[in-house]
Amino acid sequence: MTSAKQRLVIVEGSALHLGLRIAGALAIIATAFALPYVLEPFRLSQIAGACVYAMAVVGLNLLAGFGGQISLGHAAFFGLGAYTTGVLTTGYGVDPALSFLVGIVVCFAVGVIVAFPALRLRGIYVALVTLAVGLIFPTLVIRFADLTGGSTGLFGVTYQPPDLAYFSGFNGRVYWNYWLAVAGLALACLVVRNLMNGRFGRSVIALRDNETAAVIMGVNRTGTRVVVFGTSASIAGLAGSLFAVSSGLLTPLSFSLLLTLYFLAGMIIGGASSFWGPVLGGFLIYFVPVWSAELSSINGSQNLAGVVFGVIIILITFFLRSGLAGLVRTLLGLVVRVEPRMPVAVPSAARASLSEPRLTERHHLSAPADDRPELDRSGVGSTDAARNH
Amino acid sequence: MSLELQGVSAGYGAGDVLHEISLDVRPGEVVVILGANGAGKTTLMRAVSGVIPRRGRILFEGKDISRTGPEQIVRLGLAQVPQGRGTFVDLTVEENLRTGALSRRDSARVNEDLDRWYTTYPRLAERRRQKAGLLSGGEQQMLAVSRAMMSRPRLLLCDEPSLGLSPRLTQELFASLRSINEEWDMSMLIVEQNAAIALGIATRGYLLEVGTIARAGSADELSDSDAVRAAYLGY
Amino acid sequence: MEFELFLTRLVQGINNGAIYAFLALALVCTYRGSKALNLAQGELAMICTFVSWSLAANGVPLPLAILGGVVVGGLSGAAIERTLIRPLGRDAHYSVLLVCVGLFLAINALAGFIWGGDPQSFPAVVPDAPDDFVPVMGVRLRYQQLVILVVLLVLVAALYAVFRYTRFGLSMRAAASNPDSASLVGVRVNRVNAWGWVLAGAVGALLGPLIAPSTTLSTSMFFTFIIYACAAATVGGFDSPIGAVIGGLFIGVTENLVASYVGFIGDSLKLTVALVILLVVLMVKPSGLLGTREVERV
Repeated sequence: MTSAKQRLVIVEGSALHLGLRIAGALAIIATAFALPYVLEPFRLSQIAGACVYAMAVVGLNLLAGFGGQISLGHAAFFGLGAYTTGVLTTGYGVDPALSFLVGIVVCFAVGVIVAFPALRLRGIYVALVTLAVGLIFPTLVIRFADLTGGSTGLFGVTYQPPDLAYFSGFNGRVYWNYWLAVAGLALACLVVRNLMNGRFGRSVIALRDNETAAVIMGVNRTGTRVVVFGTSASIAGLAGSLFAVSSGLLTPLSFSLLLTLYFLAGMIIGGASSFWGPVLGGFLIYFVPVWSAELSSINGSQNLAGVVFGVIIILITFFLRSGLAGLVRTLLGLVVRVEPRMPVAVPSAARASLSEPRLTERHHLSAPADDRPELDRSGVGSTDAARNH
Repeated sequence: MSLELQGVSAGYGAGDVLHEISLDVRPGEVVVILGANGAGKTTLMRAVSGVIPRRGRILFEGKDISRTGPEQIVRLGLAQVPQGRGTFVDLTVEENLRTGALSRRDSARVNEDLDRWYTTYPRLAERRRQKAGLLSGGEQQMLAVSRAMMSRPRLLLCDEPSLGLSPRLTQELFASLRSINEEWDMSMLIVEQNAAIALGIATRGYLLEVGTIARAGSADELSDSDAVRAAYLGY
Repeated sequence: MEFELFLTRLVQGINNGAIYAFLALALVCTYRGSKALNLAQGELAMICTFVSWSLAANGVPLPLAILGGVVVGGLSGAAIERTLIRPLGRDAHYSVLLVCVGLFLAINALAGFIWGGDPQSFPAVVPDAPDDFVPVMGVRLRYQQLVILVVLLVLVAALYAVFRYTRFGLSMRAAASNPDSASLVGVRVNRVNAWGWVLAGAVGALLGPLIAPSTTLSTSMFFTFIIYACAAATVGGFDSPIGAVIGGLFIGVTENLVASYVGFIGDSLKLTVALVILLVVLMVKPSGLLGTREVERV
């Protein structure tokens, strides 16, 4: 009890609370602007690459974290977006921005189509549907080689920077790709946040936690699931489009099952059904392999990243269902406490559940049991202390 | 004493469903536990057979089994006919019966017992090669009883055997339970909502209400009790 | 001429199908008891094959080296079940799948770390010179291909006999059919499920050395096979060993015939054919040809 008194208490919606949130948001924006001046161009490209991965993970999290439907095929949506942009811009001279939109629409449509068989199934069978779809994609790329370049790949996908002084320098293209990726990631986070903060979000959570009860309460199961699947797919698709213009080279091998598994790893490690955890996870799945390759010259050392990810996924499944996001939240909770405006006697579901990380899953058909999302009071990527409620 | 419960509590995580239950079954007796839905009847059965964790002492033939798992308890000679019959639906009728003997070591005599139950329930013999899931509810209940008996128990627990059966089938089933009791001198603990028919074959009974024993007595005493008549017998 | 082409394709299909069926059999062994789709099954088989290869490379006679890999496979299966799967409980599809994803990444990378990324050649189990084949109606049945089919059939017959005629098999089937009832009749359900994982690990480890001489030994050797195995198990029904074999052969034959007779598909869309079959089965009859329909308990 004494420790509770020592903690800093912030009342939700107070000037301090609001101030911290604004400060957090400003800090992130400032960092985004500062990075191009601080980092070497190749590091900046890596940041852009990481943002693109993070986007895909944010999209996957909407479906698998909040929605509770695991997807073993998200690399395919990523690839579909990438190839849409690649084929349209190199083959048909379409403006890249337009190709992004086409990619979003195409991925949404395919996502909806995949959602329907997945609707009727549960457990491993949902995973199998997405697995099948995910693996069909690379084979189609190879089959339609005239269009896609087949296994040799598709070269020269670029997006010319706009005619601005900022982008005119020697590293203008790096800056441009960086800003595209940052903007894409911000957009993805905002879309997921707005979708989840409200009535629709509550329907998604209700369907995940107890489908039968949710349907009885009037949740439109088909509609909700389809929109979640489609949106998740189009976010991954836009990430793919940005990947295409920044990497310039597309091969079907880049969109294999392994990439899907990495996306899943990012989501789990960062924190499923958290808003900023997947961003962190996306950065990790990009940078950990890079670092482990840089740090050691031993042959095969980049494999260590895979071992580490695999082990961490297992550890998190057992001991830390809410991932790094949950860990940070718990640690912050030791120092800061955000009180709701109207005091409620019910303890935080998130914190209570951290102490009982197992054994509850059978009550939730397919969702990580103790990741109740924070539906309210959360800032996208904000570092403020408000995460602890 | 065949079975003795001393202050047994049990539940499913959140809170206890059973509170300090004490009861006993003497050798050769048929003891019935009456109670409404949610009184804790099935929980009691599951606590005795070791499917759920429980506290207190459970003595089977003088041996404390309150920390023993279900696989071991059946080997000691205590078999359960689970609620809803627990049929292995994709195994044949005969295979279902043979699972009942998995806890036994004298495999030579298993076939003898098999024939014995086929004689008792000729319907099962007719359908021995069929998938058990295709049997009717009444046949599945016969199968469940004979499967439990295949382990050659000395105490038989029956959880709500009349569930989903027509009145006529219920009559038949209880008649057959009575003859098992008489023929094998089998001790039985039966949980049942259908008080009239259960008391008909019982020696003694207990009334379970919200997890505690509300009343105990001989079958006749319970049948005459106003409380039982009003709540469970309907006259 | 026409018929000979058909026969060649048919034989090829059966050969491929045998491999799919083999791995699907391993998937079925774990799924029956634990209701776990072990996505890492192929990776486990791969690393065991590397173990066999290392043993053989260090002078251990090939049959013993393979046996060594099989033992490692069985033991790893048991260890995974005991430490990673059982504690999660029976209904934890999501968590189990994630654990398997973790295992997939970890095992794959571990093998890459130990043995490097370069493919290795694996010594043939049976004579594999150009003239080591049986000619049947103008089609060459290579020993190397025949041995997979033969081992598969022997394995399935043995498993069938065990499941059907032994007390252990009856315990396994009872535990898979209704775990609660099984424990009430005295089956040690956890132990029986662990045996499922032992079997799966061993079956996978046996498959590796049989296919490695033709596919070469590499960390990615099972990437496509595990997909085919999932498709085969889905077609046959995830809890039916016989179904897995039928499903595997069906997919192998279908994809090869379709590839040769439908010009549009060709060899490059073979995997797609299998995946489309998988999707169709999931939509029409998710429990597969021989599987039991899952009843959802509320």
